Amino acid sequence: MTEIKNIDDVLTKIEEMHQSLRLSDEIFPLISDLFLFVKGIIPLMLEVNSFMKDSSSKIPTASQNINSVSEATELAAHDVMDRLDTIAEQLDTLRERIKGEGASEESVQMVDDISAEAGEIIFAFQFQDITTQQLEHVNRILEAIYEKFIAFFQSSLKLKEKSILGKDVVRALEQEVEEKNTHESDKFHKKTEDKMHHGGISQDAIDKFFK
Amino acid sequence: MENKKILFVEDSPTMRRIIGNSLKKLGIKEATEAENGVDALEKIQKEDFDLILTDWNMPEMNGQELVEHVRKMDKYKSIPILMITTRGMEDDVMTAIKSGVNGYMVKPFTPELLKKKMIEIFAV
Repeated sequence: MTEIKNIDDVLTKIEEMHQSLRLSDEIFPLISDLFLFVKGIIPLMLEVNSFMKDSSSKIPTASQNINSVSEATELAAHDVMDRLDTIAEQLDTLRERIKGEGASEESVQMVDDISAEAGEIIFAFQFQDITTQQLEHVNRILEAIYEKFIAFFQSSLKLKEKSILGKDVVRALEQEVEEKNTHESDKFHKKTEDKMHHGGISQDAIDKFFK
Repeated sequence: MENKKILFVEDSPTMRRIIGNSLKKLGIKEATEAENGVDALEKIQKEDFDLILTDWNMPEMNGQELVEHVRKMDKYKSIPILMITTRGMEDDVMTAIKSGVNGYMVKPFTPELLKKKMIEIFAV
């Protein structure tokens, strides 16, 4: 049995089959066409597969980043709300003091208005919950896509195991496509690289570069 | 309204703070918070409440499931329940009504709207 290294070897094999089995001239063009179609479609599918492998490897990090955004906005929102609460308390104290000192109604009203504004700002922080829920939705979609990718990889592995010929053909094609795609994959990784700081280099370490 | 005991159910600490502040400003003296439906069910079994304010999307037990559970409890068959959620589709409102809510508000909401809804609910 000749070794199958690429799709052309498959076509040669079909030609050999044609000769040895004396396939009718009607059936042979059909089989040849079918394999030419396979020759065109499999590399495309493998390209998609390779792209999906690259993309899916990014999903857990993307998902983690989304969670970090939610946590960071929550912390920031509470920080601002803490300060607003302090301002509101100070305004209450100020209100009582100026009222006791006989300030005009207009001045007291002004303090009340500022206090009401502070309350409105706190209320506006509902955006934090709303955006968090939207991000959670995006996360759920990413998780669903990730699960689909995993299922796809598993089924493609099963497909390869089904026949010796299939295994050899797919392996040969994968090799061809992988070689072609290495450059594309590098470009993809560069484009989608996570450039955020995740406990990487410290400020001290950065400063050392400038000394 | 000031003497009513209110339970508000929210998984978001930010929203719990906002709702807690609003209730305080409305003069509510007794407001208890719960983080999700399960937490809320535990609290309503220990204490009596006059109104439940609940979010919909929450982990463990969501607001809609909570409403369904509460409506099955003899003690709370007719307690007013106001849902405050980001879900703003007509289907969502219908589902919430079928589950047994008495009022529905879409986030973001204003303190005035919360006050209005609470007045309406307690007036019935």
